Amino acid sequence: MNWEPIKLKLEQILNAPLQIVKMTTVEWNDIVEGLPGEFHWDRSLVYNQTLFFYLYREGSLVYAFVVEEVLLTSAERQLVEMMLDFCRSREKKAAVPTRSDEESLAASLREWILQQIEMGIETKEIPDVIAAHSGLHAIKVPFLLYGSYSDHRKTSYLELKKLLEQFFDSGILLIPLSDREWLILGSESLLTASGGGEKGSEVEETQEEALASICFGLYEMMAIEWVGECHLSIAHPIVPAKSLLSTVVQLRGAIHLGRTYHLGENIHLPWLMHLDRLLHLIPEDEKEKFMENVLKRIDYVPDSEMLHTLEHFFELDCNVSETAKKLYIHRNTLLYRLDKFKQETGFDVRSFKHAVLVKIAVSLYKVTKRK
Amino acid sequence: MAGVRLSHIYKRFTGTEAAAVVDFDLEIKDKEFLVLVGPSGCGKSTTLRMIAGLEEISEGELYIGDRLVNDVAPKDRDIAMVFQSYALYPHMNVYQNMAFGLKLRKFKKADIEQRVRASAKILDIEHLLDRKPKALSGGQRQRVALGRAIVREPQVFLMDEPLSNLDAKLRGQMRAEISKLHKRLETTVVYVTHDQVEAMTMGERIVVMKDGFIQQAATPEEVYNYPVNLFVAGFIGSPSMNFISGHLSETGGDMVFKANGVNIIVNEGRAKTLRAKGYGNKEVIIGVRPEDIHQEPVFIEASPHSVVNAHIDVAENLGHEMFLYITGVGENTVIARVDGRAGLKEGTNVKLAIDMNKVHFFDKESELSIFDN
Repeated sequence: MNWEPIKLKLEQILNAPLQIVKMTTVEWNDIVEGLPGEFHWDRSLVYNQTLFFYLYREGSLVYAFVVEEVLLTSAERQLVEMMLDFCRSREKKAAVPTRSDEESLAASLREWILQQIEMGIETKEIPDVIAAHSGLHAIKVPFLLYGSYSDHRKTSYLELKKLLEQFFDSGILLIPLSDREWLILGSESLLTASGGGEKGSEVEETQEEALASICFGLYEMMAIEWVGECHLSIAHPIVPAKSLLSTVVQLRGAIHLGRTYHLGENIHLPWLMHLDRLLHLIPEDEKEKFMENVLKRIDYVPDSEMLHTLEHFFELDCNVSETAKKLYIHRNTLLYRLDKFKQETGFDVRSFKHAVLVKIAVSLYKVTKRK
Repeated sequence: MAGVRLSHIYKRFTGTEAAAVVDFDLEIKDKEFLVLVGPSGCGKSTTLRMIAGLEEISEGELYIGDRLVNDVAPKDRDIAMVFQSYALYPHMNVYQNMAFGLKLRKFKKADIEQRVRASAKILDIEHLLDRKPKALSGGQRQRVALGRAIVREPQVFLMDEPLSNLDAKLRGQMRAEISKLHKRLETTVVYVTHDQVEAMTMGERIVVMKDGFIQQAATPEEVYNYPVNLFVAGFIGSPSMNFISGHLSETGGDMVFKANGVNIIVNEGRAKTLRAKGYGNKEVIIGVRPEDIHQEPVFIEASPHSVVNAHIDVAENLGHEMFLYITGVGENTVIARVDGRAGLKEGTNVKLAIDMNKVHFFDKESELSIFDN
């Protein structure tokens, strides 16, 4: 349970500052034992003029709200105790284990995947004991969802699974890799379901285009119907029993690269990230050296407008008219900016040779210099 | 329906020094059509995404209606968002795309049907309901994305450059459609755009942003006629306002503005204010909109104190109007918008008069407008 919002609400109501502290059970028990009279150790206690409200125990640690004793009346103290009791019992009810077969499978898969990754293994078939599940031998479309929301917006496995199943209108396998990272295995039929229909479908869509449009659609749905900002990646269809592990590694890599080199983007398609992947392999000192030789050759620090302009210029294949249109600026303004860049750095990005160097430098700039 | 209140909002991204949005303090009225406009990286999309719940707020409070929503998930904010990409759900047909949000919210089948059909009628896409997105044109997809938002009847519509992927003709058409839709639905709309034409024609109020700061929040007319600073003056208007840097001085009881090739008398009413504010003998920047530079002989005759002699470098004749790119007036090229039938030719010299009642004066250091609205 996330106690932070409850703490904030209590602070507002009681008009008193609260803190969440943790201590070992030994420390907690020592305090309790030193108290006069009988004590329900999961209630509250006063120690050194400080009031401790027990929250929960995790392993050998006890967590508590702490407030100065004088700031609360006895009635307020009892009310807080009652409220915390209620929160704990509600959480207990919610946590009653009702694990389905699928959840158990997801848990075993998660454990196995994380174990392999921890051992540095990136390619391995799923052991038969787990892969016996029928779904893992059928072709699936794998997605990786990363939620970059804060703790108080956590979502539950069941909630997310229900949402995704309604969206895809079919069963999916959802594997929570961490609190914020979810592997989704969707049915292969998704690719055929997005076919055109009666008109306009004569233009053949490549598999990658179809995958991208599913990913964009899913992102848009998640942005509106879920809990907050997220990043998504998708890979080519796989037989999970054979290549789930390598796909997870690939998708994780894509999201990591995307979040590093493509700030502001939320969909990261692995087949569009070849250059980023290559650049990422370059050792840090080599990256620095390259930057010194290119962008920093005259202590040049590009402003955000220049970076933005260059990024769009490269994205639109160095097409001046298209870039000006995209940036809502006059063609002459763009030419002026490019000329200014040339004057300041010596690089004319309208020439292919220079464009290649600057494109690489702009990508590296994001990870080495940008503040 | 509800208003939106952004109270001293800041957004700081991890790993960056400068805040993307700084002290954004604004009340958006219920049913208002508010446009956020500014150059790339000014923080307008980030502000919209914070209202949507897609970016967390670093500091400040956000209210939708009377409800503090800083920690409320997007799905629970009762908003509908239309993105730039307007990606539809490719495996669903148009009807299913529009119905999905309602289905999630467990609306009755009959209600869903009624809402989808009514919205489809408004958007003129009834005949497309069975089609898959792939079989739709860009404009049709855009309408479906709008429809997906409309069916939800949210308290607030958030639109992030929804027309930027359409061609110019369709964009003009959809601009009018969205404005009509707003009047019909009477819902609060927050609309982000780069495009000042969209901002000027659609917004009941415009917020011009730069570097994360609000520069000016006012009606389109106010922003155009009374820009608070050089940035707003230069950003709103196409072609942009001309700026001429020069010196104000007193000659024979008149206040004169002097710059390269410019020697014009400031109207007495304005001169009085300028003197009172201490600009009697100071460097200032004047701003002149292209349409406030005249070539008509009648105007030139009536304004003998604001005549300039210029050289036409380029003349772009659009038929009904002509853009003259002239030199010899200040240090930079100045653009004048004159009658397309004026018969002016590039490479020639021309006599023009500046409408001194419409000239803007800016402090050279602070870049703020010297005259209040």
